[in-house]
Amino acid sequence: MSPTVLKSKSFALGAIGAMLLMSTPALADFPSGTITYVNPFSPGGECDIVQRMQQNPMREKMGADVVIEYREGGGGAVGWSHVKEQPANGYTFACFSIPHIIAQPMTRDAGYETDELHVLYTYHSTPQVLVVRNDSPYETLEDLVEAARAAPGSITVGGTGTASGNHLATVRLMRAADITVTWIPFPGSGPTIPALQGGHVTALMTNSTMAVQNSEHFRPLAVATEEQIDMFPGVPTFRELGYDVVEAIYRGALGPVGIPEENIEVIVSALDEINREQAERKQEMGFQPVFYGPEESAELVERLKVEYEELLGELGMLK
Amino acid sequence: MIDDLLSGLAAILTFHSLLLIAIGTTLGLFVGSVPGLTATMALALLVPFTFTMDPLSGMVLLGAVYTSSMFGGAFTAILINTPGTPGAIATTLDGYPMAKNGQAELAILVATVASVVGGVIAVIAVIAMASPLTDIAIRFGPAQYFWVAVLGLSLIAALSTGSLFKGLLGGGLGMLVGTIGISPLGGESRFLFGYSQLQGGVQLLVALIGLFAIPELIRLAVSATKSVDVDYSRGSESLLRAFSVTLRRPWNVLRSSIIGLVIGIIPGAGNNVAGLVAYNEAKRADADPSSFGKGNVQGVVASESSNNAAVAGSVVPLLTLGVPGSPPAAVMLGALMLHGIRPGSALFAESGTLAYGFILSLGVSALALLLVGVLGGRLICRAICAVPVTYLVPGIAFMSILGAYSMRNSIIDVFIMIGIGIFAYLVRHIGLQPAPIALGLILGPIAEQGFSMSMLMGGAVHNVPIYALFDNWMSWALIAMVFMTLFWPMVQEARRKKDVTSEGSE
Repeated sequence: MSPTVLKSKSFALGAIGAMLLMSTPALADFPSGTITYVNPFSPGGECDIVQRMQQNPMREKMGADVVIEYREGGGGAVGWSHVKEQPANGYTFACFSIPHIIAQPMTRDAGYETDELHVLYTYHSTPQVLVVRNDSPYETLEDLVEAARAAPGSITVGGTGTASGNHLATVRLMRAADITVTWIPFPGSGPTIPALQGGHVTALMTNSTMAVQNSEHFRPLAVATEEQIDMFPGVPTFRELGYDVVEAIYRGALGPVGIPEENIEVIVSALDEINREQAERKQEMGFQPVFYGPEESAELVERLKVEYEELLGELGMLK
Repeated sequence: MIDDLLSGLAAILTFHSLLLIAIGTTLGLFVGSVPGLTATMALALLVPFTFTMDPLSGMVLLGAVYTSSMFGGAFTAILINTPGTPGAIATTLDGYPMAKNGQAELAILVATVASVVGGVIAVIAVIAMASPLTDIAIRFGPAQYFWVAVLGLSLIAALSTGSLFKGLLGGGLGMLVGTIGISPLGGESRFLFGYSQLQGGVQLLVALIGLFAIPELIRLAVSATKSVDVDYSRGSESLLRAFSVTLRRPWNVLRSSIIGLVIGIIPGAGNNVAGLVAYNEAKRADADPSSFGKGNVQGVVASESSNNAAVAGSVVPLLTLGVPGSPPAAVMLGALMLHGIRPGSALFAESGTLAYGFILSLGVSALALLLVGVLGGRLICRAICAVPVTYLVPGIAFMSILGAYSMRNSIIDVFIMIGIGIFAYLVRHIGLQPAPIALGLILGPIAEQGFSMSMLMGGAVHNVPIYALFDNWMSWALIAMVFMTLFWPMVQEARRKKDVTSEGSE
């Protein structure tokens, strides 16, 4: 067989393959193959926990195998830049978190733009909570704010990374209360816990999950939600105390732009059913379930884009 | 507590639990001994299977895989000079020379016994002192992380068998590679060269395969002769001999286990560094430090007993604080959460059977290693010796590529591995060893984080930020250890010279 024949033969095969691929989305029986659910973070993280919870129910509801694929790195950027490049047929989507997918492309060349990703469904938020150690002299938020006023920068607030949900909530507090605290970015949420317990930082701006799991050692001072939430009974919101701080990390599933409507519907209805079934359990773990379909999710992203651009601009972090 | 301890023991000494331990240790051994298959990945894949189990059974299975995979890393370290897990880096230093001297099977058996002893000692210590041990994890702040990293880097001085300058050069190179990616504090991109995939940095295990396995493969392919050959004409090594060799220096085993336990508790730094620190201490305490690196069996004992003790150490912050001490522990934390169990001191009070049962099961898993390790170790050892080089090289190359790819499903990682491998092969000829490079890669980011965070905190508390590095007695203790590590070899050298001259004058 001469090389040219081989070449034309493989070309023909490729063409048939491409036609098949193009015709797949139009078929009504989506999904008919394996679904790849990308986790852009490390095993054991909050995306991982939720994805593992969803994996088996998804298999049953969608009637297809669901594989979780790890593509970690760059705070999720590596995974999302990969998903953006995948064929938009609904067979590949990823766990996402906000603010990451909004803030990363604003502050650096992250390998993707927010608009190159299509948010399909948002399944929960983890509201931000300001916590101190149980034996901390700061009984209320006001105590902490006053201490920060008296000696600007002397109060240290720890949390995960820079331009993260924890950080942006802290920045919002600084703006609303007109105070300066020293932000200490940790390389993940795990190390923040012993740091507060050991007194290496004054307070943590942390996810509701972390605050719930460590409730025996930490005292929540205020929650960054619009209204008080059941998870923290009796804990005031920042707004009730006069500071306009509302911030949460949102998680859900996103795919590349251009997935056919019917396929999106299949994915969204499966995720929605599972999310409602698991809502109670998730709440116990410290997640605040939400049930945003594609439209509501898009609204959320658009609203936060404006807010984050302003906040990051003030910090001088926009690229 | 005694009640919980006994009910925990009763819960794991059932046929069901022991079966899970047997399955877990066998699986872990496989995962640990294949370069590129990681404990973290294996645990993540197992988590959904634990949904249907009760929490204790699930944790027993995960714990067995974790314990055994840390040990499995020793096989590749000894037989093909490649640490199967980062914790086994120090095992290569004497384990591989032993294999070259025809003592591969003895090295593996000794590694098995040392792992078992280290694991059991650490489990006993954890049960007896869980709460004071937790204090260690809490007291460790950014400044202490910085000094631990410096201490680790100072080991380069002790580990460099050739020139100190080349050792430091290797360490520096490793640290430089460690800066690739998104900076941990400010989130800036560094050394991406336009590739967004590099945002995740160079994965440690990808680099380890490149640094250790590839040069070995090239060398095997070039020379076409096996470095590891065991003469079986005298029959196999007996387990009894391995026991007597390991326990001949009980102080070495004990010291290494304690080092592993304590360092394993420190979240983040633990498992990777423990073996190296223990190795260094064993070398310093030995009457003839120069025999290390040439196949001294005590080097294998130190490294393996401490890296298995570190496993038990890393579950302390996991159970008492909910802070995973290592990536595999992070997956186990996730599994606990999925079962609706909240770690913390309440765990010991409310679900004492679970907490103590799990810790005890790590001890039982360690004991199970004796069986699995001896059988599996002999088998693997014989297999490696029986397979001709022409199959061995492509076989290991295939596993290495698969392993590098599977870490993040990234083909870039495969190229990085091959690139690092060729580089490591070339620079070995000018005397740059892989261990210091690996050490720099592991510790560079820890040092950077500790330093920058200390500076931020120092700025808030002191007028001069750098005071934050010196305002705690633990920092000073670590600084003292750094100095000892750096200057002890010189003191020893000076003493030796003095002895020689005084003998000469007589």
